[in-house]
Amino acid sequence: MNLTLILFYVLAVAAVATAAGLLLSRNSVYAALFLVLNFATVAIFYLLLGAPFIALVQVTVYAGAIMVLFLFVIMLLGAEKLPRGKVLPWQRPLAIGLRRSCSWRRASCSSSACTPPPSSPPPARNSIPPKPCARWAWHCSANISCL
Amino acid sequence: MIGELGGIPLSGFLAVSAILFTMGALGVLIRRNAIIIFMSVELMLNAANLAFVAFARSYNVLSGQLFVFFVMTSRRRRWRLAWP
Repeated sequence: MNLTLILFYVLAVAAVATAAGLLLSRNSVYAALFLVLNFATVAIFYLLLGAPFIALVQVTVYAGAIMVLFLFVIMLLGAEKLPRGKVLPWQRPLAIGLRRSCSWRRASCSSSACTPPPSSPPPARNSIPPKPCARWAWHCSANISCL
Repeated sequence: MIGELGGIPLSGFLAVSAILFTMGALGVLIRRNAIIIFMSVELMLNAANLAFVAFARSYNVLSGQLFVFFVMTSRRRRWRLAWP
C-alpha cells in the first residue's frame, strides 16, 4: 500500500463525490463549482498517469475557459433562479404498474413452465439455443418504451 | 503490456472513468435544467478522456494523449457551448 495508491483512492473518492454533488445540487452555481473541483481531481489523475501537458491543458481549457463560460451563462441568464419543470402526474403510477407487471411476468416465467426439463438430452452443438420466455420480453419492452 | 501505472492497476482508472461516465449519463437523463445537462455532458467527456489517457499510458503510446488534446481544444465544442 504505497503512497500513490492511497492518493489514487482519495482522488477517486473525491472525483465521485464531486460528480454526485453536481448531480444532486439544486443551485446551478454550486453545480458548476462542483464540476470545477471534479476537473481539478481529474487533472491530478492525469499527473498520476504521467501526462503533465494534458493535466495543464485540462486545468487551462476545461476549468479555466469552459467552466468560466458556463458561469457567465448562468450569471447572465439568471439560470440559478430557473424553476423546475412540470412533473407529469400520470407517469409515476404508470411506471410503477408496468414495473410490477414486468416483475410478475418474470416470476411466472422462472417457473418450470418456461424452462426445459432437466431430463431432456443436451442440445447438439450446432442447434439454436431455446428461446427465452416471450411474454416477459413483451412486458419489459412495453415498460421500456414508456420511459 | 497491460500492467500497473506507477503502482495503480489500469482497472482502477477504468473503474473511475466508468463511474464518472455513468453519473454524467444519469445527470443528462435526470436533470431538467439545460445548463446542468450540458455540464453532465462535459463530465461524460472527461470520463472518456481519462480512459484514453490511462490506456495511452498503459500501452505506452502517445496517440491517446493526442486524441484527448484535440478533443479538449476543439472549436466545434466551443460553438456548441455558446449556443445557450
